[in-house]
Amino acid sequence: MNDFILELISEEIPAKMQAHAMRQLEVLTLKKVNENGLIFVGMVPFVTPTRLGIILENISIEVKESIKEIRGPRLGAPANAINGFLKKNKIQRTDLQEKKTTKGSFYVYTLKINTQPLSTILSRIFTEIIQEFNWPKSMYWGDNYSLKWVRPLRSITAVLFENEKRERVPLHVRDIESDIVTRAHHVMHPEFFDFKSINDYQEKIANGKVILQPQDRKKIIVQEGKKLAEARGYYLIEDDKLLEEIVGLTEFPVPLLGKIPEELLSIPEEVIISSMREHQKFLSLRSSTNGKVEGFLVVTDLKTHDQQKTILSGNMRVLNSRLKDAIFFYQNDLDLVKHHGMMAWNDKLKSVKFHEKLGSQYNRVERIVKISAILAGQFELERDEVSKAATLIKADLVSNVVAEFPSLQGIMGAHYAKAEGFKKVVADAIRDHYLPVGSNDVVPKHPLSIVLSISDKIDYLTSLWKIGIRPTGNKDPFALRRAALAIIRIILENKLDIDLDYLIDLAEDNFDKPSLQRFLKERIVYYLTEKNYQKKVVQAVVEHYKLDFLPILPDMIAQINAFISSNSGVRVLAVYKRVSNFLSSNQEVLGAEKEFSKETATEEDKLVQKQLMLTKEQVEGSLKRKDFKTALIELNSMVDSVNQFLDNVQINCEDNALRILRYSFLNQIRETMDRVVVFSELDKK
Amino acid sequence: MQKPDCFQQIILLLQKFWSEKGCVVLQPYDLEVGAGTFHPATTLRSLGPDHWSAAYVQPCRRPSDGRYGDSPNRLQHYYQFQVVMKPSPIMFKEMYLESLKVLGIDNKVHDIRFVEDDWESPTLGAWGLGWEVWCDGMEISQFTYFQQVGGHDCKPVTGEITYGLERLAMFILECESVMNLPYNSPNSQRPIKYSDIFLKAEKQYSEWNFNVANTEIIFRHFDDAEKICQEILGMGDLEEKSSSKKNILVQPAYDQCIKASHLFNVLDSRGVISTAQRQVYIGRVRALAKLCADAYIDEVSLRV
Repeated sequence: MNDFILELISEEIPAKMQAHAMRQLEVLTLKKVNENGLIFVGMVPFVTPTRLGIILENISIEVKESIKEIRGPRLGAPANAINGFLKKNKIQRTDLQEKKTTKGSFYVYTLKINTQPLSTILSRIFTEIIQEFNWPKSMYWGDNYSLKWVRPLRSITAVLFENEKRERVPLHVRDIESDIVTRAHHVMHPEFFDFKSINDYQEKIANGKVILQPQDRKKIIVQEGKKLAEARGYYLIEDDKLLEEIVGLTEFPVPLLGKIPEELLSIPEEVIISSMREHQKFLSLRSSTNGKVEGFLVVTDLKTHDQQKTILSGNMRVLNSRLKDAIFFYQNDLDLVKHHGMMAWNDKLKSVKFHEKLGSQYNRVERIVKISAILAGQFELERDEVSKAATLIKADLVSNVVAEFPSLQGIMGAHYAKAEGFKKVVADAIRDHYLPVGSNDVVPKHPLSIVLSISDKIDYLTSLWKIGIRPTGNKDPFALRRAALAIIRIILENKLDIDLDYLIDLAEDNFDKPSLQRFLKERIVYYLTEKNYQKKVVQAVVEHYKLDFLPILPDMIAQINAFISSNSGVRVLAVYKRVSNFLSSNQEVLGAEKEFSKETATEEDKLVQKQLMLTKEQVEGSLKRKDFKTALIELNSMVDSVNQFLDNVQINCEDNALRILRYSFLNQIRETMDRVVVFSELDKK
Repeated sequence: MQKPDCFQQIILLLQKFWSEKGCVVLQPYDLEVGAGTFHPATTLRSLGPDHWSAAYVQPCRRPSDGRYGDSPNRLQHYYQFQVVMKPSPIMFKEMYLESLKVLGIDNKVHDIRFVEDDWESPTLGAWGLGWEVWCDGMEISQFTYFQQVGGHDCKPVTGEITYGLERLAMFILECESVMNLPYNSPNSQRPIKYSDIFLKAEKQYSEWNFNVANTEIIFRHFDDAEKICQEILGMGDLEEKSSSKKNILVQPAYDQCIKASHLFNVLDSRGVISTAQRQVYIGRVRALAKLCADAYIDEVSLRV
C-alpha cells in the first residue's frame, strides 16, 4: 500500500481562483500519472485559502521492468558495423547474443529498462506540474524569478508512505525544498507537525482546525448558519456566489449572527443587502415573522476565547458606518427626487458616456423613447405614458446609491419613481426593463415593461452593431449575444406578434442589416436547439424564413416534426427525393434555355403543369398568411399527380424540347416544395 | 500588550517597529500626492536592481473625497503609513501581522483576513498583486507585491504595505468618527482631538476643491507641469536640453509628474473634466510617469 500527499502552502489564494486551481491540479496529476505508467486507486484534491494539494491513494508502478530487444548487424557483418552498434548502444561485445530469424541470423542486444523508484517518478511529475501550473494571474516575489505563482509559494509538503515506511519526495522549485511536515490553521494551530499516514494527516489537520474540502466548508456554513438563524427567528437568503467566495476565504468557517440595528433599517432592503454583501461579505437574513431583512451572518475564520464577541462587535461597527453611508446616499437621492423630480437626473446623463461613437446615456435614452413610443400602439398603451416612462429608465444611473452599488440600477429607479408619485406599473417597468438579465432569469410580463425592455435592447444591439462591434469566438465584451437572446426570449415566451425586422428598422438605418439578421438567426437557432428542438429542423426553418416568422417558429417546427413522421410527410419526402434525384443527375439540362414548343406535350405533362400552378398559388397564399400548416397540406395534395407523372412519362425523352420542359416542371416542383421548407436540409444526417 | 491610546502613538509604534525591521524611517514627501505610493521612495526606488527598505508617513490628498468634515470616515486629506521592502522578504506577511500585534491587534482575538485586491495605478502605469487586509470586517491595510512601475518590470520585487492610519486608529481606539480620534494621549496635559487640528481645513479644502478652485488657471498649471517635465527629460522643445546623458534630472522631472497628477485630481473634483476627457488626462499623467521611470532606469544603468 503506497499513499502520496502533496501540499503547496502559499500566501492567500484569491477566493475565486481556488475551485479552478483544484480542478487543474487534478487534471494535470491524472495526465502525468498516466503518462508515467503509474496506477492508483483514489485521488483526492483539496484547496483552502493557503493550501492546494492532492492525495493519491494506493499508488503503484504499473510495470516494474520492461525488456526491449535491439537488433544489430547480421552475423558476419564487417567489424566496423559491429563496433558502431556497440558504440551507439554503449555496450560491450560480450553483451551481444546471436539470434536466428526468418530473415537470417543477427546480433541482438537485450535491454532491460529498470523503472525508477516511485519517489523519483513522483518527484519529477510534481516538479513539472508546479512549473506548468497556469494561474489566471501570477507573480514574482523577492529576487528569484524562476517561478511564477498566484501569490508567494511558501512551502511544499510531499510525502510518500510505502508499506509503513515514510519517505520525503524531493521537490525543488525556486528556493523551496519539499518537507515532511506541515501545519494546520495558521492562527489556532500554527505549530508544525509530521504524520505517519494519510489518515494521520487527515486527522491532525482536522483537529488543527482546517477543513480541506471546499464543499465541506460550504456545508458547515449553510448548516450552522441555518441553525443560528432559525434559533433567532430568521431564515437565510440564498446567495450561492457569495457563499462560494466565503468558502474561499476560510479554512475553518465559523458563522456568527448579528442583528441590524433598528435605526438602520429605514432604507430599501435591496440597499441593505447590497451594502452588506459587497462591502462586508455578509449573508442576509430575513425575519420569519415579517419577511424583512433584519439580520446577517458574518463568517469568520477563527474561534476565540471570548466566543468571537470581539469579532462580531467589530463587524457591527463597520456595518453601522457602512449603512449610515448608504442612508446618507439614499436620503440625498430622495431629497433630489422630491424637490426636482427624476428628470433632473436625465440632464446629468449627458455627461455619462455610453460609447465613444454613440454619445451619452442621454442620447441613448432619446433613442429608446423614440422606439418605445412607436411600439406603444402595438400593445394598446398610451403613447405619452410610454414615452414618459421611457424617459426615466436610465435616470437612476447617476443617483448616489447606484453610483455606490451599480447592481441596483433599475431597482433604485423604481423606488425613486414611486417616491415621486408615479404609478406602480411605471415604477415596475423602470425596474424590469433590464430583464431578463441571465438565461435563467424571467422575462418581463407587463406590456409597459415589455415595450421598455425591447426598446432598450434593440437600440443597444443595433447601435453597437452599426459602429462595427461584433461578438467573435468566445469574446463578446458588449454582451450582444445576451441582448439578442433577451429579445428573442421576450418575443417567444410572451407569444408576441412582433416583427424583428420591423424592430431593427425602427431603431437604425444605413447599416449592415443583413449581418445583424444573420446574427439574430444564429441566436434563434441557438435558443430553439437549447429548448430541445431538433437542430436540423430548426436550422432548415430558421435559415429559410425571414425574421418576421420568429413568433410562430416554435409552432412551425412542431408542425414539421409532426408532418415528417406522418404518412403524408413520408410521401412528400419520397416525392421530393425522386424529383431531386432526376435534377441532380441531369444538371446540364437545366442550364439550357432553348425555345420549346408545347405542342408535343402529352396529357400527363399538361396535368402536372396544372397541378403545379395550383399548388404554387395555394402555397404562396398560405405562406403570406403565415399559415404554415395549410401549406404543408397543400404540398401533400400535389404528391399523387407528381408520382403519376414520373411513373407514366419518360423524363429523359428523345425530344429535346420536351425533355427540357419536363425538367423545368421538376425544378419548379422542387422550388415550390422548398418554399415551405428546404426538405433536403431535413434529410441531412 | 499595551494598546496605543492615541493617533500619534500608533505612528510612533509603527515607525519604531519597521525601523527595527531594517527600514530607514523617512519623512513625508513635500508635495501633494494622492497616495503614499507616489513618494519617490516607493515609485522610483521600486525600479532598478538596488535593494531598499523604507517606512514613512505620507499625507494624502483626495479632493473628491472631501465631505466638509461631516462624514465619519471620508476625508480629502488623510494619512497613510507606508512600508516598502525590496526585495520583498520571505516573512513579509508575518512581519505585518507582528506589527498589528504591536498596535494591540491580536490575531487570536481579531479575525484578520487577506482578501484579494490587485492594485493598479493607471496614472503611474503600475500594477501589483496582493490583498486588502480586513480586521473584523474593516479594511485596515493594503498589501501589494509590485510587478510593474511605469511600464517596467520590478526586479527585484518590492513588497508594499499601506496602513490607512485614520481607519486603523478608529478601529484600535474604538472611535465611531474620525474627528473624535484623540490625536495625542487623552491623559496628556492638553488633549488634542483630530478635529481640533483638521476640521477647519477639511471644510475649507472641501469648499475649495468642489466650488472655488480657479479651473482656468489650474488647467494651465497642468499643461505647464507637463511641459516642464518633458523639457527636463529632453523631450520638450527647449533649445538647450538640460539632460545631458551624465546628469539626468529624474527627480525634478518626477516632481512635475506628481504635480500634474494632483492638479488633475482637483480639476476632477471641480467637475470640469468630462468622462471622455478623463481618460485623456490620465493618459497624459501616465505618459509623464513612464518618461520618469525610463529616465530613472537609464540613470541607474549609466552609473556603472
